[in-house]
Amino acid sequence: MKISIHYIIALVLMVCTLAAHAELAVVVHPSNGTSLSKDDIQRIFLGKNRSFPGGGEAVPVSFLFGSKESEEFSTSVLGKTPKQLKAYWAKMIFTGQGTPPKELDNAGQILDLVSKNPSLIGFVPAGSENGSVKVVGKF
Amino acid sequence: MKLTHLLVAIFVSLFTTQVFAADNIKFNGFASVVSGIDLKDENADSDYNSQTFDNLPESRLALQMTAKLEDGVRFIGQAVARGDAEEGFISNYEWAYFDFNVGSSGKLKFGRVRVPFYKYSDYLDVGFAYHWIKPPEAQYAISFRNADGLSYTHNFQMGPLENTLSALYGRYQGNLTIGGQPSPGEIRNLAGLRWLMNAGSNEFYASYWQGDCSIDSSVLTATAGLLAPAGVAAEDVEIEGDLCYFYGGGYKGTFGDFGLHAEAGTIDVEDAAYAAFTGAFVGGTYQMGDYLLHLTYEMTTLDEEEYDTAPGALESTGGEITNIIVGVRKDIGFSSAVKFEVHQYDTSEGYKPANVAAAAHSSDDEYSATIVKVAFDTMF
Repeated sequence: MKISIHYIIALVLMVCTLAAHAELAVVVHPSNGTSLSKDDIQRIFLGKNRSFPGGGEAVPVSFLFGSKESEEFSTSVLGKTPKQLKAYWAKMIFTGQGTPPKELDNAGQILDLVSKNPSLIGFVPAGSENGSVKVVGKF
Repeated sequence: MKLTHLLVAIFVSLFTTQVFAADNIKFNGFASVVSGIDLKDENADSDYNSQTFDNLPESRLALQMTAKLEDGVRFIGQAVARGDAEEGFISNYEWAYFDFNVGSSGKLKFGRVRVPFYKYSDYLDVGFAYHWIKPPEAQYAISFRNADGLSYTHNFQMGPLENTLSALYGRYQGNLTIGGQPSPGEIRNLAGLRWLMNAGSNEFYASYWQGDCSIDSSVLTATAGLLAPAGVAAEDVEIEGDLCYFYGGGYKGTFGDFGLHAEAGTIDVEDAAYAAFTGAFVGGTYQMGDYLLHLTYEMTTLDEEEYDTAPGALESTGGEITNIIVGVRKDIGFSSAVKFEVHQYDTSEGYKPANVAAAAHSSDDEYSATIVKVAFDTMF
């Protein structure tokens, strides 16, 4: 009986963990034929690479800093806590090396912009993407 | 017309003749208010006195403007107002340059730019970006930060190593410190490079810089006059187009909540009359939620050296100055931090920071100082 209780607790914890981690889809313009690794995406969103691996300018767009989507992306894809990300961009801005991605309010705005511009790359909650964009990774 | 003024004028004319969308111009800024008191006040060279808290010596406020002119071309201006005990805050345009994207991960800058001598050089004034109130002075000893010229930064991957290579060629005009005293000077053909390497939680850097230094110093002129009867040529004492150089390196490692920092570097003038100056520090950090505790030991060493032609008249007794920094940083939100530090300085007997003349330094006796500092850093 004791084992069953532990099993139930573990199951509940696992479900809670899965619920807390909302999957994100990284999206590009449908005409963009490049394939991207997590490392490529990381470098583009951290301003270290300004082009896609297959060529062509890469311009990242993001959710507003402090939003749950931004925090999720920062932690699971960029490998930085929101605080570390803020400090990282402070260094980039005040060294003149770069500026953070343009921030948008919601998934609809990101999908709209990415679907119209082959240079853009963004992320949205998995499931909210539509046929106007191409998914290059889910995290 | 100074290059900085010229660049600002060019930018203003561009600004007034073009209509910029709001998205094309961004303003960012940072500020640090630092207050301190010297609990002993035996050290005449201390920035702080023992009677009251001083707010000005290390406080600064900066406003940076980034204007995107064309695809891949920007103008960046950074005005910094620094606290000055006599004049209040003195403002200067420390950066004023155009930058151009080169390929996917290179950037060329032209104008007044930062010289990346050290790991933290690029954001030396941005207190929020590091845990100390300011990086250890033993290593971060070069008295100027910027130069007029051309610089290039390139990011590249090499196996597991992520690399950033920065190079610069230019000229510095302004005060240089000799014998503990700032004097007008210049460095022509200032050139060098810094290589930053990052392998996961381990970061390394190596840096080498050189230039032709000239210093218009009454201390040097007086010393040359004193030594003339001993047969010492004035050009051996005065610094006029002499090769001066800096080389250094460092390491930063992060191991969970623990961090390890170490850097070392040497400054020298290629002339037997001047002893090499070496600075180094080693320290650790421990993160506890929003709090970061840190401990650093720093040391400045002056080589023991004697000028052959005039023994005793122009010599360095050698010696060292040490400082132990104990501090805590607490983050407030995402863009502000409050810091508290205690510094314990001690010098070895007979220490002189430069060997040009004993009189150039206010004290050559053993001394110590205990300085308590509080800082508030923010960026916006």
